[in-house]
Amino acid sequence: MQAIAIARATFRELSRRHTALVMLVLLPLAFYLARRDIPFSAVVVLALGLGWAVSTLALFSTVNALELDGRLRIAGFTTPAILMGRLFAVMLIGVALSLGYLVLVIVDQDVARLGGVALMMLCAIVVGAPLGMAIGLLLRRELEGALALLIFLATQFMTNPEKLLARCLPLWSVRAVADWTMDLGGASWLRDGLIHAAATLAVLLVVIAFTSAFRLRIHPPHEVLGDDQDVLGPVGFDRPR
Amino acid sequence: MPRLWLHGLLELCLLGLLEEQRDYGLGLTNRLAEAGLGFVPGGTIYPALARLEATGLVSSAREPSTSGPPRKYFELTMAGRHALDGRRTEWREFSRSIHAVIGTKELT
Amino acid sequence: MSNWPANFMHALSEHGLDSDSVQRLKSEALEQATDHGLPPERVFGPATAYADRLARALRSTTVPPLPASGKESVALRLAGVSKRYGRRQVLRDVSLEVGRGESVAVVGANGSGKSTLLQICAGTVKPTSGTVERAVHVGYVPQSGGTAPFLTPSEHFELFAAARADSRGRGIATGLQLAAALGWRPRAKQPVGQLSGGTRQKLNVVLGELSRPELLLLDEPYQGFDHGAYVDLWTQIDRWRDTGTAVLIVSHMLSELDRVDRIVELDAPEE
Repeated sequence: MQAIAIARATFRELSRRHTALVMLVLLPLAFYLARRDIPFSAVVVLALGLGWAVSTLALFSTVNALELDGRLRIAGFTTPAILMGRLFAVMLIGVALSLGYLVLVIVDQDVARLGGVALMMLCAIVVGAPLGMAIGLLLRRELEGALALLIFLATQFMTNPEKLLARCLPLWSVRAVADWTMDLGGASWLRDGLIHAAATLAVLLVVIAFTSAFRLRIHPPHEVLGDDQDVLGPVGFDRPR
Repeated sequence: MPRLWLHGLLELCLLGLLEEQRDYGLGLTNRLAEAGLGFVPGGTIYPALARLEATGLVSSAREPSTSGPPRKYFELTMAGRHALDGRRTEWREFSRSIHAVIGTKELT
Repeated sequence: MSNWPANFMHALSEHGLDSDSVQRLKSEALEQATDHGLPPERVFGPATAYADRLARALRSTTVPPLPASGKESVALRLAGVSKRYGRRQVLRDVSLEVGRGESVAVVGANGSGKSTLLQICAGTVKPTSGTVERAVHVGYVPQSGGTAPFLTPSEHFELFAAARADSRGRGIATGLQLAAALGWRPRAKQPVGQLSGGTRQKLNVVLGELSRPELLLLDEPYQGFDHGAYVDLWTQIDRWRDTGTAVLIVSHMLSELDRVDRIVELDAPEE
């Protein structure tokens, strides 16, 4: 399938950038080490750092592929296949990273609800990757995109989660679920967190769908020339044999 | 002197020579010189033969030779004979037109 | 003294020939030189130049003919196409047709909108007015760029071939064959970012041709090509045309224009 080919190519590409990968591992780790002695904080910043790393990966992967994506469209790839394939590859890397961090938390911290930690990281990945992709599609440039991401994520660290501003930020779900995980809040925090993650994901997917439909558009011809059997299928569908 | 004109016609000449008799590279070089077409260097003849072989007009065979290393002999295939006939006709018509334009008496 | 046989073999393998063929060709060349009674550089000239000519001569036509298509013999038709960006008129009332088995060149001064025209043909840009009709299966070769620097050429072939069900799985084999027709042997593990500009453009050409399109659009595809590659490109274009593909090429290298079936000239940019 098309999306699988894109995912495989993206995964290969990203896994060759060794220095970047090392830094991706280090980023959340650095945050974690900074707050290691405060268990709640340590786990939160670890998950937020993971979200940051994944969204940066998604941003740069998207921006760097813009020219290639145009060619892939002409070659017959559908826009959903391109985007979902790329998103899947980035999320896969995020999941690989999170497994490592989970082990770290198990070994180094004493957390009762490990499932909660896993959920935090899942929220970080599931929101972070589309966030990076959406910014990449909107701004189309690395510097501008990185700065935009910085604004979102740095502010996330600094606001008080109860404030309204905090709830508007994409990774709020991580902090909400953290409250439940560390037993600082009731199950309502878990519920709110998961709802926020789902809603943010939905919004980001809509943004992605609209910008990509615009940016990666192939204007269909006024008429299709050729054998009859091709008239019905849009570019990218398998031709009937 | 004939080099400029020969450039486009080398393959035709090689096909013609091979129709007469199968031969190897040096033999063909000598026969071209004897026919008055001057010395055609190996760097030109062998690629031309390779092209004829790649397009199926000529086939080759390596044969041990008495006086040295094995030799690569070339000969026309059926397709080569057809191609030669066709090109002969084209050449006849073409040279007729040229004669007419430059005002020479036609050489039969 | 230069080592003619070694240089000859190296140059041949650079052209994509396998080691058995390289050995055989070297032996033949040395035998032929012995026949002539002269050292090989006297018989054949410089090893690299001779290898270049010989390798090119050996390349057989590997382009499969397109299935004879049903009714429509035109693969691209533009009628009255204009494009304006704000107040700048880039194209004005352009009409052209490219039939199957035809090659058409688009020429014009710099700034006359040649690249924009090609993008309109491909569908990535929408014309301000006019109509575009084209075949489904289109290949596009940009002037530069459009590749992934960290992937190898074979991985590009694999990716692009995955677009259509009928080319999936044969991408790498086809890609290597098409690369050989341009005198290029991609190295297995070498990422595209390390290739020279000319070689990257060869990759671009192959990617455009890869899935055997009905319509091939080329935008001055020869950036960075040496003379040999340029000759190979035009030979390849002739082959595509002879086997039924419709070819539209933007070119400012006017010396090849007698090889195409038709020429379309775009007006100079309006002041």
